[in-house]
Amino acid sequence: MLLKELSDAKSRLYRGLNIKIGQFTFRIAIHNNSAIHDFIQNYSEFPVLDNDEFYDFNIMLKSPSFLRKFLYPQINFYCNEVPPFIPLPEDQAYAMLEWGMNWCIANHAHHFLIIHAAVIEKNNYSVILPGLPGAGKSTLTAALTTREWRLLSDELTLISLNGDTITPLSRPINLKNNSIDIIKSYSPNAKFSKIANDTHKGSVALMKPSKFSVDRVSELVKPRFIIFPKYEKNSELVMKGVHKKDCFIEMIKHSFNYNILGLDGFNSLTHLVNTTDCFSFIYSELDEAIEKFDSLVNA
Amino acid sequence: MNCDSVIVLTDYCHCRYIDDVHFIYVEKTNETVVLDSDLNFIIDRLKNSSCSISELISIAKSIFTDESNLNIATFININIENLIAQDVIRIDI
Repeated sequence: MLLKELSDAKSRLYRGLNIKIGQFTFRIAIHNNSAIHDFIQNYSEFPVLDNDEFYDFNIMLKSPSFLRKFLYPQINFYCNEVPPFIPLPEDQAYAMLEWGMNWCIANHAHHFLIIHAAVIEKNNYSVILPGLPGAGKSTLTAALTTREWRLLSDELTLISLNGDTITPLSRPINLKNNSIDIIKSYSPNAKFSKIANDTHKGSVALMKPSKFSVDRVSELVKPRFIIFPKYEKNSELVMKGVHKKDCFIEMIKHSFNYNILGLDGFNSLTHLVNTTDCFSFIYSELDEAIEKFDSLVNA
Repeated sequence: MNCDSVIVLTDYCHCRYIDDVHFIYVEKTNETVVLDSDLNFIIDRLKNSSCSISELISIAKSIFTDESNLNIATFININIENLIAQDVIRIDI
């Protein structure tokens, strides 16, 4: 059963509900009405499991104390009843839930090499998009997924330890600041969570993943391209080959767990880089960028 | 360093080529070492079997023909010391 088919989704989410997101099952309890609303909207196409089924992460979003429900209301994220972060203002609840879910996966899923990168796919060609904050990775990813590209992930690229496959998550896309309005006007039908203002990343909104991306979340893909995007206002579109040796070093910098995995991480990443084509990509116009990406996979 | 010393790759050294550059993962230190491509011949030679420093100097002389013999011997000795320090190779006892 999908989350959208649950008539009592709100109360189940308050009490605790098992939801399957790609290869992971989260047991999620949310004590915040706004975050429950955003979660139900953005995860409506994901399957709900019975509460007695195994789950990987037991997470909860609730006020850190009774007093904080009323006085400068705050919210905190708990994983297995332990709060890994400091509390945040209550109106950042849903964003905190998404960051917390990222934290759970990045800190525990060491059966993958985890890269801080978006990953998308079309015509069986996957593109990994590593990018520093502000590089325009999520904006480009969001735009592409409104134009027939499948979303595998916006933040965490999960590479198998043999470097041969990417496992999708298809969770909402985290857009920040100007990107929110850019994508809202670029794709008027896209759905967004409420905007959380004044977070440590500025204003944040999470865009609902496309239905066809979620429907195909169990389909693994082979890595094909690694492209380092960079948004530069008024720039010409430029796509240039990157030496694989430079790409390898950059990918180590973007990895969450390369050092934890040791030899497995080294083997996975060397295989990944040796079997993909690597590019840098500067863009300013989304239509132009998408046309270029389409040309890569329509050849 | 004694030219008759025989060196081998350490047990915890793993080498992969990317773009004609050797990347070496050293399990003991959990470090990834990027090797200057001028030194590829050392790793390639050691992948087959152990080798003396004088043999490496001899191979280097056939590659870097413009360099003086003295420079080549120094180049090899310095880099061998560096690779030993990084646990990529060791003196075979």
